[in-house]
Amino acid sequence: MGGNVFVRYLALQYSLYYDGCIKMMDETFQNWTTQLRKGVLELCILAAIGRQEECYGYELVKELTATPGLEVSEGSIYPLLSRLRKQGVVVTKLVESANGPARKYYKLTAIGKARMEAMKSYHASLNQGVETLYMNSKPQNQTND
Amino acid sequence: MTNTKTALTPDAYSLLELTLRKYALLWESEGADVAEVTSDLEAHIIADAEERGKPLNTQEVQALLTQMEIGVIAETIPDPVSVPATSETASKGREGRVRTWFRHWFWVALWPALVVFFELITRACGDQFFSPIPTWLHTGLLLVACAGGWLYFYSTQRREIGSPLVSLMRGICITVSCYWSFLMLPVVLLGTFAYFMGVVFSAGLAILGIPIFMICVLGAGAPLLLAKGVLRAEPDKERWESLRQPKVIFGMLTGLVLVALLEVPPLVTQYGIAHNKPQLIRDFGSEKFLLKLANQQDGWSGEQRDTTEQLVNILSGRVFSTTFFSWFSVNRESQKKHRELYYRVTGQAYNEVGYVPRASKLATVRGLDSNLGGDGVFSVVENLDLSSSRMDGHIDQATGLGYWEWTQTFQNSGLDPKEARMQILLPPGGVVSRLTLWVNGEPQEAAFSSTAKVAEAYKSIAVVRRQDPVLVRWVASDRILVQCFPVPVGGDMKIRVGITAPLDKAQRLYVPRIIEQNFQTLERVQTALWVQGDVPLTMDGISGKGESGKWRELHGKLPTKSMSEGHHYVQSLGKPNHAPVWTHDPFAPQDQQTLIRTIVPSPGGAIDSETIVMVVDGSEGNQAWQDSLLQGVRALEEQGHSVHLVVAGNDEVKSGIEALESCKFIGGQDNLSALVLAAEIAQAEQADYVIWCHGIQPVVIGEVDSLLQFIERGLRQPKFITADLAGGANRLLEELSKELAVSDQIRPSSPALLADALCSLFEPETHTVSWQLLPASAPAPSGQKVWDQLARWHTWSKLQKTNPDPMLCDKMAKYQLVTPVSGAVVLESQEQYQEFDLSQVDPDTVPEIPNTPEPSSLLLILLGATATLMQRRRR
Repeated sequence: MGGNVFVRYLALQYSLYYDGCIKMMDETFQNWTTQLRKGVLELCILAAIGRQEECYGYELVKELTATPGLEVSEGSIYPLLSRLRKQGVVVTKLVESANGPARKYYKLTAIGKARMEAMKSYHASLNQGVETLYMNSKPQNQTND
Repeated sequence: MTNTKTALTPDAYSLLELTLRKYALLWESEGADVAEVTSDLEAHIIADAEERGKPLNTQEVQALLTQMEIGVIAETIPDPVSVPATSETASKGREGRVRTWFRHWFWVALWPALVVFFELITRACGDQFFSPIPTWLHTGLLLVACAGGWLYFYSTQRREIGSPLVSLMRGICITVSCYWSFLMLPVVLLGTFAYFMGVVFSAGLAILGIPIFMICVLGAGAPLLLAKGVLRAEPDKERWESLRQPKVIFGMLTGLVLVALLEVPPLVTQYGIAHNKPQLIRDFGSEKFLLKLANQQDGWSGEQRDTTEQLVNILSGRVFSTTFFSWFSVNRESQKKHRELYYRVTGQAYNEVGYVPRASKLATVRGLDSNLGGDGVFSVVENLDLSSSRMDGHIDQATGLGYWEWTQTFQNSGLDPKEARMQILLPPGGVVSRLTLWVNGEPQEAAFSSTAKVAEAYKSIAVVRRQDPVLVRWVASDRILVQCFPVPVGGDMKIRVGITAPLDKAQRLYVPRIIEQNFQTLERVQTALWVQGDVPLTMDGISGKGESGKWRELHGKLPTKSMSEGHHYVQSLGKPNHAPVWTHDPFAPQDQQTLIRTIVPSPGGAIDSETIVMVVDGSEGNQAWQDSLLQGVRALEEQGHSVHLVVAGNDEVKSGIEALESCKFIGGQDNLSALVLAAEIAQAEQADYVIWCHGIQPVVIGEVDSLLQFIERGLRQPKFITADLAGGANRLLEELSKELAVSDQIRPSSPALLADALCSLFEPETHTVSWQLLPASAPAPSGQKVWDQLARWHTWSKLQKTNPDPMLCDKMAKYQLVTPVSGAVVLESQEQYQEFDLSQVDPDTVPEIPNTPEPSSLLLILLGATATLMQRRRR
């Protein structure tokens, strides 16, 4: 009888410990993905704007929020867009609309284009580097012959 | 649905506003523009609502905000990684928001308006540097600019910038604030310089320098702050993009036009002054600005430099030197030039329009009068008024003389004792024969002596010791200068001037009047007139009459304004008395104390043909006389005289009748040049008479020496006659009168009478006057005994016929007359009289208005005499 209680106690503790580890792993993973998304968000925005001469803000934001994996919200994009404008990376233009409020269009400046190219280049080299590391890494249960 | 308010229900809108406000701090810390992010998010929500086709309610807005990750509380939002925050990081919560509000709204919208009101009340900048708001129009324009700044700030907060009104006001504000910033820049620099000099030279002064620095920089920098605020870019726009909008450009042009409308006339005036172009000033300049310059005064006032002068000084690089030097004195040459030009432009004297408010608040409050004790009337001072005026007159038909006593009271409602100064136009041929000042309620008679002595006594006692004298001096033919100081603060000063004058050929006794004054007259004041005589009398505007036996009187009130316009006179309806009269002269030596006047008819005869040079003053005030002047010339020619006409008109001097016919009578004209030309013509044509028909001449344009040289050295000495058309100040006449016997023989009361007056000058005399002096002990001569005014008049008339001789001053003083060589002063005490070797006249010897005996009085005397006789009989 006492043994059963003790085993159950141990099982409970193990179960709790296991749950905690999983939870910790989840939080760490969440943080890592959040930081990674934030790191590429500006590049994504610049790339989206840079695809065309000028870009309607509302549609841009809609597209970004719908991009799988980016998981970004309007509450994050608009402040970033404002910051980019203040830094001279993008310029904006308001066009009066017959229906609804004035439409805001975004366009990359020369500085924006240069930054985008630099970011793309770095992102590509980073990707390649990670890919290289990934390709060169061996599974734990594999041994070299 | 086109805006947030219509795309959302009211509650949903409130929720949105509240939520976005919470994130303002975070966004600002991330380096974003809060207004821009807020407007973007609102636009996004509106676009969503448009897609749904209906206004969003609270729940829907909450859901949207949550979806946007704005519905969560601020603390759980992760820190940004890729873009660093800007250096402008607001501190925490409320303090950051207050600082943002303070920075933008206060400095852009409120502070400039406060500075304008501060300057309006204190004139701090006007006292020290220049007046940035010299007129109400400037003040209004600046306040409009402040309103524009406020409107722009409010609109950026409300994100309603596209409105035409906002753009227009913004444009106006940009132009106006930039212009005033440019003007205030030297003040900011001076203030900064003064502060640092204080720091360098003295720590103590540095402490004192702080408020000066703050005042200068913050106050003077107010337009700079306003300009900076309205030049800030709108949200979502680049700076230059927002300024390039047509509505804003239109606003800027509007502002430029408004500034030009205010500043161009004074600038044109300054140009006209510098290049001596009165016509340019008349057409495009500002007479008001010129008047202000003409009324500048000396001393620590720093006043009168306005925005255009500051602009000119900045552009010419003289701003700092003129600022320093203007603290100490006014350039006399400039002052003279401004007064001369004001007359030439308008035809008026600079002190004729009344009190000109001072730009300097300090000077206004103190009521500073830099012309105290001076030798003229000069500018009108504030808070000094004529509070009562009374004129008593007597006409003695037997002697053909009249006597006026004019009693005036001045009151001072200012903060400093003031000097009342005025020039009085006497009746033609008149002379001041009495002066009284009330001291502590008691009338004190004057002391008469040489002009220099009385003036010295006055300046020493009045100006230096600030005690109670009054001074009367002769300044020109039929003109005297009266000065009394101090009129005490909150108190008054009462004087009386007695004037002896002859009736003219038409039996008129002219009323003395003030032709120049440095005080104002209270609205309610009218001159109470009483004139009596032993013959019937009439006067225009006076209807009150009375009679008692042979005595007649007129009484009534003359409005002060009408007294200063035109010539007024009392018409005696009696006939001239040609019978012999005599009087006892108390001032003459014993062997000459009986003075007899005999009038003998002359044989008369034809009118001699004379050569006359007539000078006409073509100034604006004489325009009504143009036709009558032409008639006068023709009348003289019909009388057989040869008339050469010289006209000062149209800013030039020409001769000939055509010059008078084509004269436009504009502004004030240079009569001195015309008189010089007349003197030359008189010499060339061997003329016997020069008749000068003039209006007011408040300044002398040019140097009078050339004319005086002609008069003194010329081989021919024509008789100089003046015809006073307007009866005002005449500086040229004052200068001429010092060297020359000049008489105002004509003073027509209306243009219709001018021709007859001119012709009457050349009508042969019908009578000859002869005088006889006998000892006092001689038996009473035949003829009527008359008042001793006859003796005064006799002495004065002898002096009039000669050039002023200083050796006669004792005699004139003895007869108590104010003449070219003698004056009168009333001092406060006997010690003061002794100090200056002056003697007050015996009150028993001063002239008075005779009391006219009334029947009731005579009856009382008869009754009394009868009663006395009866009592004696009873005894």
